[in-house]
Amino acid sequence: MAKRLVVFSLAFLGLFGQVVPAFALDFPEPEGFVNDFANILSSGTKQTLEQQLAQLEEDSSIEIAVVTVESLEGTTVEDYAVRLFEDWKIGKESEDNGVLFLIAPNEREVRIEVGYGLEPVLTDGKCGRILDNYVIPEFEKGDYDRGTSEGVAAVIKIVHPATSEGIAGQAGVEEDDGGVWILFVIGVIFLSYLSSFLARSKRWWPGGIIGAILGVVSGIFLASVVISVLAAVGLGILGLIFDFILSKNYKERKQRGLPTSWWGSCGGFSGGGFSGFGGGRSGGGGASRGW
Amino acid sequence: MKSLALILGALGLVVVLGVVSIIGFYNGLVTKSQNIDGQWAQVETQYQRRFDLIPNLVNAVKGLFEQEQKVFGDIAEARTRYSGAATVDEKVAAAGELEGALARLLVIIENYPEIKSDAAVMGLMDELAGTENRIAVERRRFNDWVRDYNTTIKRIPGSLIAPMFGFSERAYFEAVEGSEVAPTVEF
Repeated sequence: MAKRLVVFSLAFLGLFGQVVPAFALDFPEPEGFVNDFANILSSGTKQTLEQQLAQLEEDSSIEIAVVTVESLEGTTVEDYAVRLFEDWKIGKESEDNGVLFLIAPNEREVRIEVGYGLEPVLTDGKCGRILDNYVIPEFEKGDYDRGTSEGVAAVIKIVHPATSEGIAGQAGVEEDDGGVWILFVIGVIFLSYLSSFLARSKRWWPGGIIGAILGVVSGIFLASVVISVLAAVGLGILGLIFDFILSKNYKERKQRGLPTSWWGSCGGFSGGGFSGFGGGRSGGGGASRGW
Repeated sequence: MKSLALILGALGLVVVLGVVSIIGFYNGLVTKSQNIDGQWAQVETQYQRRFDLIPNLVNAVKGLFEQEQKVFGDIAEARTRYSGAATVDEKVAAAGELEGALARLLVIIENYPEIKSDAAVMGLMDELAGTENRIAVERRRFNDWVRDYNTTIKRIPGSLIAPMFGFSERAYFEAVEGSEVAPTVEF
């Protein structure tokens, strides 16, 4: 019956226009590397993961998408994963170096789907081990945050060990490098507050005014009217551009629901950030588990 | 005289446009046909991967149960037939037989928890499950391309143009009878 219905609707569509795939699924647009559509991850976990995955992308161009869905819409986790991969095109186009970490909490199924390019590195057997050792034991306890974080960390460790070490290093104690370091930190904090203020102000002219004032002040210090005017104009324009970019960036992140706090967004510049997936493909490699 | 030239010019334009669009359509069909062939190669790559993997799995589990020698015989036989297959149909048939035998082996392994939990066997089972899934994915894409192509040559103007150049309908990949049904195993 269902088959006949499909044939019929295909014939019907054929009369009027484009043929659509027989069992089209509707996928939401990606919001970042982490897409918690089922709302099972804490915001802290999401921020940390987003940051790590942006870092990985910057270091190696490998794209890992973490996705939780409320429903698999009646299909298998394997089928859903490969179609979502087709739709989002995770990974870079020529390298197919994407990974999809798909969690369906209601169906109690999880899958790691591997792009063509990473199949030799992240083999099906390794995916199975990661799920068995790090993910499933935590999911069975209901700890989605821990299971997901450890699973992703294990994947990163296999696909790009250097990033994995970098992430582990960040978690350690920061080294004390003396006075210059403190000055630098104060400078960064001051700058971050300033840029945070400028970004949030939505308007993009305060940066220009602040730049101009700084120019005048520095001119006064150097006791020269010419330098004062030149510095005011130069720094004013720089400030305008700076504020313009910041405000735009802030607005974009806000729209996409990305973190806008200083640490959460890595200052909005470092760490690359998410700018859509790159056109990668997968062909059903990876492993799935239920719990 | 002037109107005759105009009519001739218009006719000429129509003919040129017609020829150009037929050429475009022809090229489109060639591309779609090539897509199908390319996708078939993908399916065969995955078949080959499966055949390469099987000796490992068989060697890992063969000694563990003596009473299940028949399934190993079936697998070896299907494998020999696949490598000897000359036509696509023979390949598909041998692959289907192998699929049945592998499904039986997987059910057998499921029934032996101590074997199932062996790390080497688990890894191989994942590889095998991944290969089966890859085959399913590439087959689906193959069928998508065939459907795309068949739809094009069946709709107007395809139904008029395709026969002129000898384009005919392509066959879908049908799952071999019974291969999607997991067999029951008795002890």
